[in-house]
Amino acid sequence: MTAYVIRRFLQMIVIMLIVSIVAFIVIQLPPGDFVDAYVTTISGGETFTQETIDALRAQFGLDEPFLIQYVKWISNVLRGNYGVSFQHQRTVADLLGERLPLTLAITLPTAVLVYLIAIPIGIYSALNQYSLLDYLFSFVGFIGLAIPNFLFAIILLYIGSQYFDANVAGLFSPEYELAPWSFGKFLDLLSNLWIPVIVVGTAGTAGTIRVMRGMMLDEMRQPYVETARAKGLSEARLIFKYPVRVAISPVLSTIGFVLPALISGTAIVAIVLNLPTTGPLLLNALLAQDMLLAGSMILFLSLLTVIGTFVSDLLLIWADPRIQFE
Amino acid sequence: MSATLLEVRNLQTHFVSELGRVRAVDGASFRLESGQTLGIVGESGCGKSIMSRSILRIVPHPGEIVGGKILYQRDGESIDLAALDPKSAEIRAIRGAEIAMVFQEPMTSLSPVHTIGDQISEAIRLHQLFSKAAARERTIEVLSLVGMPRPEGIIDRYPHELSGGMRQRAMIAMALSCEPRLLIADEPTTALDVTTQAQILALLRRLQGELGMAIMFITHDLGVIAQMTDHVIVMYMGRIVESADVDSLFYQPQHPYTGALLHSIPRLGSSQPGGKLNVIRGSIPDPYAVPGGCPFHNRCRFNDGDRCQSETPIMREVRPGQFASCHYAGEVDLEGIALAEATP
Ligand SMILES: Nc1ncnc2c1ncn2[C@@H]1O[C@H](COP(=O)(O)OP(=O)(O)O)[C@@H](O)[C@H]1O
Ligand SMILES: [Mg+2]
Repeated sequence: MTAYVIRRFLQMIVIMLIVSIVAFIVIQLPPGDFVDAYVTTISGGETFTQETIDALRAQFGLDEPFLIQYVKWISNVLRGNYGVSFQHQRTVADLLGERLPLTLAITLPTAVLVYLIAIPIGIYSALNQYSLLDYLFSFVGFIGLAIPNFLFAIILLYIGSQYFDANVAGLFSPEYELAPWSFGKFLDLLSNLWIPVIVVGTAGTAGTIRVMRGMMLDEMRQPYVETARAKGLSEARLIFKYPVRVAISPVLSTIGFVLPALISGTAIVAIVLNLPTTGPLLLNALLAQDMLLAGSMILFLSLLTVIGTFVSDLLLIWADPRIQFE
Repeated sequence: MSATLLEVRNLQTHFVSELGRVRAVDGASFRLESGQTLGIVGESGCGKSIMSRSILRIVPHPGEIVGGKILYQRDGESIDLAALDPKSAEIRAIRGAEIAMVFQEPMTSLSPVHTIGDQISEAIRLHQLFSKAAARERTIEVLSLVGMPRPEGIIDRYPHELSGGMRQRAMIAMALSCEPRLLIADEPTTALDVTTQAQILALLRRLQGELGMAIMFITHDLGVIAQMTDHVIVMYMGRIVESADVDSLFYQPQHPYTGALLHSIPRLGSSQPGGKLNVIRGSIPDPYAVPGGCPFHNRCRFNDGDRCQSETPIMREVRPGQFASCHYAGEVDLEGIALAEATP
């Protein structure tokens, strides 16, 4: 076990290194660089002399060869110095520090809710296959899967503002938007959180219900369930000890990649709902070729994914003794 | 003879779906004495498994007992298992404790994610007041009873770490852990290779001698019946067509179906090289569209084309202690085989 963890850890370091190189290359792939993007779009039609442009390039270190740029960047990152966003003229650490907590405030409760809601419903639907509630859950679930998140967000925006007079865009009501943190602001956040949580969580919940239901239906047919019944166990006890235990492990093991998926998958929703999360920040950074910001964020997402996968694997090993350490 | 342990009277277990009604068990009656080994034989699909599950009340949905009685005798009183609610505490206290079952597939019949010891001690603690430690000790004890090598180590193993034969030993240990009065073994050796099969059969014979419980031994293999049982009932399409002690059944079968089954056993010396097996001609009718009359008439070489196709034969005593449900039982000339020929 220890050897396995150490080996996986070394693997993770190598993967992160490769990811950082690939990320750096991919960010630079579109023609031009930040200065070009800046000159053509962001500056708003101002004209620049070639000297100014060159000076800008030198200032951001963009005139150096690719390899040098990469080495400089990665050695800074490793020392915890993420650099300055070209676009925002603020440190990357600052920008992320502002948006990450809010992103987590949306995604963590969403992830927890997805499992808390989906797993019991999946089990219920499987045990009461073709019952009225099973049909209802399936119907709602398919709708949840089929509606694109941005459309769902727009619908909720409309319903919320039209019928509930709710402040549906953004995470805070106008009066708290710029106010410093207080208990009131926290309550305000909670009251506004439900829309993004519902939008972001619905598809995940619907998907997880389908997976859990399908797994349970398969497991309930297994002979070991009959063995447990023939032993004299009550139905409730045997269901939770045997088929649920077997069916839940692949579902639980997805916990690891739910987090990065939610964080990166919320970009469109965040734009529609005008949420100050990391999604729109990353999108804009990529559009503007804001290398240091985009690079750091991609690194961070990759790290989450790599750690998530590792956690998933550990969970699976714990849940299913047939899986061996390799 | 000894006391009756279980008496099944006109049991009917049907599966009803939009496709129609399948009479998986269609009026079966028999009696099982305590300490007896009763063999139940018949081609696959004839209702052996559903009948045994009816006794434990674990018939899978949508199967249901629609008629008959299953009288289980305990302390001088008689409990009709067929009348109990399958979820009731009463039937659950009998399952595993008084009537235990060994299944066909030792791989899939054990949970893949729980240790052998966990699954066995669970049964022990469910039916008896045992501490965790005492249940563990008892588990090791039953594991060594079934001839498991190094039971102290095996107890913490998962099923996938054991061979098929060892898994079936673990299943048998689980079934015996509460010292049941009746052990139902549903094709316990069908999924095993020949050598392991012989070992498990020997084990069951030894255990029956040592523990003296009754065994209901279900198989489609008459060779296994010959080795294992005292009394045999032959099933065909959910009905019992013949019931006799094992010697009479083999030497003087009374039902044409029994005769055909006996002659379909591959035997040493009896068939010339390249000669084909005497498989029973025709095939089992569609369970959704059973023809009238004798259920076997479409495959029977004694079919009279009249009574056999219109009138359902009833079970009658053809020779002392030997019953068959055939209009012509006792009249038709059926050839038996020597018991020794059936046992490899
Ligand atoms: N779930 C089910 N639905 C419909 N029919 C079933 C079901 N399970 C078993 N049967 C029917 O019951 C009959 C007896 O099955 P079974 O007892 O398993 O046979 P055996 O154990 O003798 O091979 C079969 O003909 C089968 O068609
Ligand atoms: Mg069967």
